[in-house]
Amino acid sequence: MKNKLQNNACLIVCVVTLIIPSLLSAQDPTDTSRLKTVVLTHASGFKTTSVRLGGGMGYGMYRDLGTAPMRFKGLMIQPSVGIEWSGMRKWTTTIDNNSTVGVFEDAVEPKLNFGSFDISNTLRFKMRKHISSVWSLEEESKLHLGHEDKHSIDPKKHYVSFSAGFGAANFIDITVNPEYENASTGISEFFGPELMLRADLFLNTIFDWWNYDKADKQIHTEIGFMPLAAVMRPGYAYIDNYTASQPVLAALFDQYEWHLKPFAGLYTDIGVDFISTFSRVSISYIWSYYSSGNGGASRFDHASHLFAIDFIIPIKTKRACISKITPVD
Amino acid sequence: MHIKNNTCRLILIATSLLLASCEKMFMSADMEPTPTATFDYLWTQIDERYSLFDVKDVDWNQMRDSLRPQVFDGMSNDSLFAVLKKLINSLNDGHVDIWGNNDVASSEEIFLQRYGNGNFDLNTVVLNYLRANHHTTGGMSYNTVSNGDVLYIRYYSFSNSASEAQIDAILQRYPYVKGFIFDIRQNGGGAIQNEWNLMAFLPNEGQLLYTTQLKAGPAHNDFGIPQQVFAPSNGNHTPISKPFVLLTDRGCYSAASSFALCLKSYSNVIVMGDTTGGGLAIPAGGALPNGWHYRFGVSRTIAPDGVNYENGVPPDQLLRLDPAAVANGHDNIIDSAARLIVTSDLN
Repeated sequence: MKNKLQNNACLIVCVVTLIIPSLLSAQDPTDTSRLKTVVLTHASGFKTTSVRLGGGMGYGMYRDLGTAPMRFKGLMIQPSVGIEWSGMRKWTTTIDNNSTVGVFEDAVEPKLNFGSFDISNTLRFKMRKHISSVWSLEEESKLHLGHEDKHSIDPKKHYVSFSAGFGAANFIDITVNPEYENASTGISEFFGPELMLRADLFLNTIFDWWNYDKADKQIHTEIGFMPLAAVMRPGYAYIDNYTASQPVLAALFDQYEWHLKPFAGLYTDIGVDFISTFSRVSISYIWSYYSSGNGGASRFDHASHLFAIDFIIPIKTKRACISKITPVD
Repeated sequence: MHIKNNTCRLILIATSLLLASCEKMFMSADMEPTPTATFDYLWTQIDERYSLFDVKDVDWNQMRDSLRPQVFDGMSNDSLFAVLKKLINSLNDGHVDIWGNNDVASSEEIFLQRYGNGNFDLNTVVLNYLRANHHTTGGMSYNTVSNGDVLYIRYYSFSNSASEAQIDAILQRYPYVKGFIFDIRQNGGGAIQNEWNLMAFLPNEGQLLYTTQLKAGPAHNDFGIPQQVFAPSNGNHTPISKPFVLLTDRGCYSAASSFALCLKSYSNVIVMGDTTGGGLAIPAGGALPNGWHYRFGVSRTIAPDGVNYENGVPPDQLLRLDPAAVANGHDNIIDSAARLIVTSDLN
């Protein structure tokens, strides 16, 4: 059942993979000489503050070699909340908090009903900057811009925008397996900087003099990773020594150990955003993977495959400067 | 900047393929759930993480050499379970267990010492000492004995509640007794917090109760930093200065053994009866490759005299239950404890 779900997830991703080039091809005349490219040279438009509310469902797994040599797999749900500050063609800053709750089964002996719970939370801050390249896909790219011609609208365009960014993320995971007695709860913590790359395919973009990338749909792909993370895991005995008569909070992490791990976290995000003025509805497939590395019994791996729907709702918009777009033949 | 059509396609395809990637790229495969893998895994886990080899009379390598040839892939679950049971039985440890599909394997030795060498007769205690008019507060049942001079408290399990408020309520009810008998015979343990609740009413003289260490490496003697544990504060309670006799037997295990060890450090406490069953280590659990579960101890507890009483805490006064007394409706251990209290110099 779980494998089937996983296969279906992979199938959907593959379909999306095939659709993206197809979309491009559909708009792409075979005669490349007919293509036009424009470069957006000045940041402008509106500064928008939006909140993101949403949730997801999917499939997850973890393997904690401190307590078991096999994966635990199951379904998970994820409520999420975030805030986004975007200035068009400037930095986009986001703070997202995603919590997942999963009920997992021992993949080897599910009939024994040795289930476990997995609760995790990702708090992510990121800033990404648009890289000013635009790929025009349509034959007509005549632009009419400026104060004097603000009602002129260019034919619809499709273009790809690339951006890159950095930030920081904190991922904490709590596994609870009641059958493991004093080792029933394991906490794994990952904290570190993140780097990310993103590509957005804007569909049916309307250029006007003050809001030049008013697309009605947008397909996005993003990949991010932690180049180096501080990772906390239970110590060798896995348990805390509650017989040491310490206060609960002092004992909680007394035996936990920290280490540094390169490439401890990785996520990818592919989806489509339906845009209405400043609001968006985003439907995404998000894969994330964290590994404590460090070998042996202390290794912890956690992965999730989630289909999420998010509503990005503007709470504040402020007009910035006038757009200036320079067409390039 | 002009980006070629094919270049952009390639970037999108590559990105999408990355998105389709999954964790299998980064993780090794799970261990095969075969009988041989399961045996090897359990043997290794105990070899590297079990904390009590120095007080257990077992040659762990020899156990592997003798039992491993009996394990082969394709053997039945019942046969494998029987072999694993032999393996853990060699440790004679009540904190080492395996949960299989349809059975649980526990130490036979601990079972026999608890029920074969019991120092306790429930009917005698309930009918002649607690009696029908006894009181129950939390997990403790109690009544006076010796003409009202001694309060007898029976505590069946450390899994049952013994909060400070409950203990306080019992003490408030009997302010004029000359001493207390606290009976934990056949108490198999439970929550250690209840130990601390009870000790909060015994006089804190800054005494060391024990030193505890967790396993910290794969060698049998790899332990972490020793942590000394002292008597807990009395808080706002008036500590009991009257004689306090703790009754023990081989059925006292885990938290009950730990309680007996702690109380040996109190000047007004006498531990009477038989040696406890032991089990001072903290058990940690986990799963085997075939999905069965296990647990075993990963800590050690050293008494103030430097001894690890993992196999049983000896009493201050060794006293066995006399069948002849029981036949006459008497528990000679309770009677001795009551006499000791009434004639004690502490009164």
